[in-house]
Amino acid sequence: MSFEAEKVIQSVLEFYYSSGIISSKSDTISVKVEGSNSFIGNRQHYEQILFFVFGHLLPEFITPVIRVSSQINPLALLKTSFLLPGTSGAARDQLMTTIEEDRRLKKLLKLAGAETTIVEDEGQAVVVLFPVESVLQLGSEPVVNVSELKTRYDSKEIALTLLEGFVMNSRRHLTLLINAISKDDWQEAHRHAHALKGGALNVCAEAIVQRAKSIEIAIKDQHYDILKQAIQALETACSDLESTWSDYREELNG
Amino acid sequence: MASFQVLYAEDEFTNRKLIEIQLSKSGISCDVASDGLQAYQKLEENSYEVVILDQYMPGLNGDQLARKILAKYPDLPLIAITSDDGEIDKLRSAGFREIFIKPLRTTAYIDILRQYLKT
Repeated sequence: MSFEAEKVIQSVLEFYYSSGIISSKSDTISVKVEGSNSFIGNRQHYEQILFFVFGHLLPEFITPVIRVSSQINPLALLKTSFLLPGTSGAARDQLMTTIEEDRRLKKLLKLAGAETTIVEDEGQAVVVLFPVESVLQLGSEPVVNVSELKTRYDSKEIALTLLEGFVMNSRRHLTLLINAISKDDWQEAHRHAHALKGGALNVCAEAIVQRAKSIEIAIKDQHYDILKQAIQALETACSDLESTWSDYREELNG
Repeated sequence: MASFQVLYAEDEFTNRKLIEIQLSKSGISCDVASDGLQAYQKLEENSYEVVILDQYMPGLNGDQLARKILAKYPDLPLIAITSDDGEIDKLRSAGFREIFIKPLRTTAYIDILRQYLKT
């Protein structure tokens, strides 16, 4: 799963909120993918919603699509190849609120990023397409956000100690995670994914946080079919960290 | 027998190191263990005023270890650390006095910890 794609989808969901399509943080978001159960969660469950989306779509190589409509309930527009997030129940009236067409298009383009996005205006609705190849690509951002790490702790020595320790230990957790998965030891696998996520959080390695978290959720929800792909993405991020961490060390020291 | 104010059990290096450094800077002596079994062994060999346990650890999870510890040391204050707020009920029923939710962005948890220290 691409971190970039996650950010884009999250931004689109944020767009729902800022545009008034979803009225408050307590509103629910429903996601329906053809041939699977619906996921309904509130806006604080972005990660689970995103996981649900990608977990179902990626193995089948169907281009993920988000349909945003300002005039009609997207849930009423279920179509085979479309992913249709929307609201339900009492919030349905909010979907009737019209927003300015120009504002909506402009914002979607900005949020989604021009390079990997095709936007088609279908009159009442805007369809944003994310080509699968883009979704599978790794994000281009550095694994560690050094400027954030610099401000996180009282001293650079603490940041350096934690970063060095994480680099030294992440490969061990990754290896044990893969071993545990190969033995169907899900409790152990979950623990190592969790440890990687926690360590990555402490050193501002967001790319690893997101990938480890996807695995953690996949194990918890028994979506084992996506693990191979998710592990590959995590392994790439960990390798990237190992090969570049001396640069981060210099940057922290400087 | 060695004596420490705090025993902290956590299998993930950066979490363990961070709290160890923060407690040390606050003048609190801290011993660490990297899994539940090691923590229990240290508890039998040394003296501690408070024990902090991570929930997800190899060997014994925090709640399992808490029950085992409290069966032998019923008055020892136990504090849990977890990033999973869905575990709170389980941790409370295991006998933890406090539950800290990760990530610990500030050192405010140290003030709470101090309430359980005797020295």
